[in-house]
Amino acid sequence: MRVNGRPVLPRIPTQRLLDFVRDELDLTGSKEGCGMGECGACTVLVGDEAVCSCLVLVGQVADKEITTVEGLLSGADLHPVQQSFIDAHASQCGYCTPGMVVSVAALLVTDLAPDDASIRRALVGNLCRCTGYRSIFDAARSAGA
Amino acid sequence: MTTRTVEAPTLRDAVGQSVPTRGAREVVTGALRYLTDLRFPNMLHGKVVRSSVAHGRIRAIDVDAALAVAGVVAVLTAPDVPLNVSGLIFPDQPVLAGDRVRQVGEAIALVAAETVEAAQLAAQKVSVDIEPLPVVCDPEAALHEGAPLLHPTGNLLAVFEHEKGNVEAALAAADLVIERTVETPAQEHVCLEPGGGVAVFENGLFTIWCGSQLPGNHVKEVARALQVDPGVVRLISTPMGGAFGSKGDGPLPIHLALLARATGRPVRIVLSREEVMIAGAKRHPFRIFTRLGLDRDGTIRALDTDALVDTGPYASLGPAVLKVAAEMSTGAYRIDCARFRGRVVYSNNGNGGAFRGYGVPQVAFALESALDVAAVKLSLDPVELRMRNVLHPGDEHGLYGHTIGPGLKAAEALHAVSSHRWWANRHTWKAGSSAVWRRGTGVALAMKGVGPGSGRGDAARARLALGADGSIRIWAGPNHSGQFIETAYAQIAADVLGRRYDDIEVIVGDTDLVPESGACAASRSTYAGGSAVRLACEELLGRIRELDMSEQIDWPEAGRRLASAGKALVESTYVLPDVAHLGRLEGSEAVAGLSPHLVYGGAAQVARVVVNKYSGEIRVEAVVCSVDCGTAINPAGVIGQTEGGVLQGLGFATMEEYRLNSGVPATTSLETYLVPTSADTPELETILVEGNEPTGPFGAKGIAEVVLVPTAPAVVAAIRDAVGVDVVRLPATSERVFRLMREARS
Repeated sequence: MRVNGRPVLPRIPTQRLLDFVRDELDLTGSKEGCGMGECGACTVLVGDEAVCSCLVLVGQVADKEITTVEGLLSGADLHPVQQSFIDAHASQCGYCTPGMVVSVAALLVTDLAPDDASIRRALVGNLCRCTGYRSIFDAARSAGA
Repeated sequence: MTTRTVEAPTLRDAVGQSVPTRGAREVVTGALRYLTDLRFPNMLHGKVVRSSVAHGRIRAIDVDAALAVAGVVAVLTAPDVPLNVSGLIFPDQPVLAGDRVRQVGEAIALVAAETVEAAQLAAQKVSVDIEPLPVVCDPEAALHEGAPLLHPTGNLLAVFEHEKGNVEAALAAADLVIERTVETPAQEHVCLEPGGGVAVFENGLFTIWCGSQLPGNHVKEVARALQVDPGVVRLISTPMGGAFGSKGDGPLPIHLALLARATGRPVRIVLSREEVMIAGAKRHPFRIFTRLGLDRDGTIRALDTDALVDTGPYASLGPAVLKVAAEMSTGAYRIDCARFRGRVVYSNNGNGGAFRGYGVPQVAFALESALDVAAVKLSLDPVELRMRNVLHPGDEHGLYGHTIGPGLKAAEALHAVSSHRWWANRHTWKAGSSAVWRRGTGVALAMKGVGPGSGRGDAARARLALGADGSIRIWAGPNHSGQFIETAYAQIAADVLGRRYDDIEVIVGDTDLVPESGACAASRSTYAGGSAVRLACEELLGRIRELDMSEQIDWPEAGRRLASAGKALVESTYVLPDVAHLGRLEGSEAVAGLSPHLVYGGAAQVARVVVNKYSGEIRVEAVVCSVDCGTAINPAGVIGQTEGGVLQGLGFATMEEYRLNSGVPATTSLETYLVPTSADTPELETILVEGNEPTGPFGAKGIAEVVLVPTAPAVVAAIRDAVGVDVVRLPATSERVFRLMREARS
C-alpha cells in the first residue's frame, strides 16, 4: 500500500483504513464523524475514487494507492481545490472540509468543469452542518477553472 | 540596529473586508488539530458507561468484570465523584448516576484503559442492575396527578408568566381571533465532530482539552465536582468541529478530569455519533397554544401565547430558554396587549439544552404561522400585514413595553426580501405549477436579542500586549466554536489601531490565557468580544498618546517605552449595556428576571417550495434571507453564517426530528436522523441590510441565530400557498403533508 506516495506496511489487515491513517501514520486530516459512511468526513482517495475510509479495512486496499487530504499538497503548494475552498469561504468549523476537498478533487479527475448536478452527486455523501453548501458549490466550480 | 516601521496613514480598511478566516489553510490541508485529534504519550482511552433504561432505580453496579479486562486502569462510579452534581442553572444532574437514571444514555460509570478496544470491552462488562420505573414520555402527562415524579420538587421545573395590558378584553374586541396549537420537535445539533477531549493531571493542575462554548463555567463545574479550586483547572476549548449550542453544558470535561486524576495519566474520550445522538442536548420541543387577535385592517390587537416545554430529565438551560422564548413570543411586532405563559417540565425524553435560536424558532413558528393564517382570512398580503405591525426603533416592545433601541432594521429586512424577484414574481411562478408539482412562496420575519439581556452584568474581556518589536498580541473571548471568531477580532483591532490586519495576533479559547469573557452564545461573540477588543485597542492608543510621539506612531519605540513604564499590557472589560428606556417596565423590580434586550437583530426570508400533490414530497427550491447585521465586519462570514442558519432552519422545517418511543431513542444515527445534504440545499441568496448598532464594534451586531428563525414559518407558508394545507406540527415531512392533503380532500 502507498499512502500519499509513501510505501507503508499495515500490520493489522482488519484495521479500518481511517484508524490506520490517523493512528498509525498520524494523518489526522481525515476525520471521523459517524463511523458508518453517512457523513463523508473521512473521505480519502483510493486510486482516483473517493471512498469513506471508515468503511474500508486496510486488507481490502493493501495493493492500492491511497491519498488523504494531506497528500493533495505539492510540497507547500496547495492543491487547486484547497485554494478554491479558501477563496470561496467554503469552510466554517472546517471539520467536514478535508472530506469535502477530497471528494471535489475526485470529481475533478474526470470533469474539470462540473455542472451543479455533478457537484451535487459528488458531494451528496459529504455532510456539512455549518455552510449551507452554496459556498462549497462555488469552490467546486472554480477549482477546475 | 533597530528597524523603524512606518505605517501608511490610511490602513483602516480591514473592517468590511471578506478576509479568509484565520486557520483556513490549516483546515483545507487537514493540518488543523481538533481537540479530538490530540494524542499524548502514555495516553489512556476513556469510555462512558451509559444507561439503557429511560427511568429506573439503580440497585447495583458491579465493576469487577470490567476491572479484570486486560489493560483496564480505572473504573469510576458515583462514589468516586467528590460532589456528584452538575448543571448550569440548577445543579440537578449527577456527574455519574448513582441511585437513579432518568434518561437512556445517562452516564453511570467511566472506564480508562490502555487501548480503545479494552475500554470498550470493559464498558460492556460493567454490570448495572436497574429496576425500571414508569417512564414519563409526554410533557402533558408529566403534569397529571399521580405521574411518576422525576425530582423531589415535582415534574414542573419552571413557570413564567407576563402580561402587558388586558389581553382577554383586547381579544374580545378584536375583529378576528386566530386560535391554533403548534408543535415543534427536538432537534439535534449534529456537529460534524461528535465531541470528546483529553485531560492531563500533573502537579495538582488539570489541563483539559475539550470543546466548550462556556469555558469559564465548565472550569467551575469541574472544580465543584472534583472539589478543587477553580484556579487549578485550565480548559483549552478550541478548535472544535461545530457547536451550535451543544457545547454549552454537559459533563464531559468533568468525566475527563475525573479519569485523569484517578489514573495520573493523560486520558482521551472520543464520543461516538450514537452517544452524542442519545446523550447530547437537543433543541427543546415546544407545544404552543396561540390566540392572535386582529382588526380587519390587519392591526394586531392582542397575542396570547401558552407554551409547554419539555426539558427532559434535567434542568440544564430549560428556564433560560423559556425566558428568551417569552421575550421573543411577540416577534418583531408592536402589540398593545400581550401575554405569555410558559411551563418547563421534566420528562424521560432527550435532554433539552441550548441550540442556535434558544427558544425563538419555536415561538416564532407559532406567531408567524398564525399571522399567515390571518392574512389568508383577512385577504391581506402577508408582507403588508407584517409591515403594518412591524417594530421600529423607539417603539415599545410587544410583551414588556421597553423601548426598542435605535439599531433595529426589521422593517428594512422585510422590505428587502419582499422586493426580491422570488417574492415579486411569486404569482407568475406559481402559475407555472404542473398538475403534479404545485408551487408556492412563503415569507416570514424574525427578531432576536443580542447577548443575554439586561440586568445580567454580562461582560466580555480582552488583554492586549504591545511588544518591544511593535507586535500586537491579543487574548480575547468568546472563543472560536466553528466560526474562527479571531478573524473578526483581528479585523476590529487592525482598524482601531491603524495596523495591518496580518500584524495582529489573536489567541482565543484558553482559560489560563484569555480573561473570562462569557459564553460563545446568544449571538454575542462579535458584538461583545469585538467590543472588548476595541476597548483594549483604544486604551493602548490612549497610553501611546501620552508618550507624546509624533502623529505617525513608531510602534517598536512605543512598545519599548510603554514596557519600561509597565504599561505595555492592556486589559479591557466591555459590560453589555442594559435597556436604555424601560418604558412600561419602569418601576418593575423584575428587570433582571425578564432580561429585556437593548439590542435586537432582524431577519426575513422568502422561500419557494414545490410540493408533489400526490405524494406530499417537498422540495425547497430557493430561500432568500435578509439580515439586519449592523456593520458586517466580515461580509463573507456573515453570509456563511446566514446560509448555514437557513439550512439548519430548513432541517427544522422539513426533516429533523429526534424521536423516542417510551423514552427509548429511535433516531440514533445519521441514517435515521436526517439533516440537509447538498441534494437538499436550495438556491440561497443573502441580502445584508447594513446599518449602525451604536453599542456594537464599528456598528456591528450578532446575527448567527436570528437567520435560522424565519425558515420554518416561511417554508410552511409556502407549502400552504402551494397545496392549501396548514402544517401545525414540525417538521413538515412528506408524510405529514400527504396526510393533511388527504384529510382536506375527504
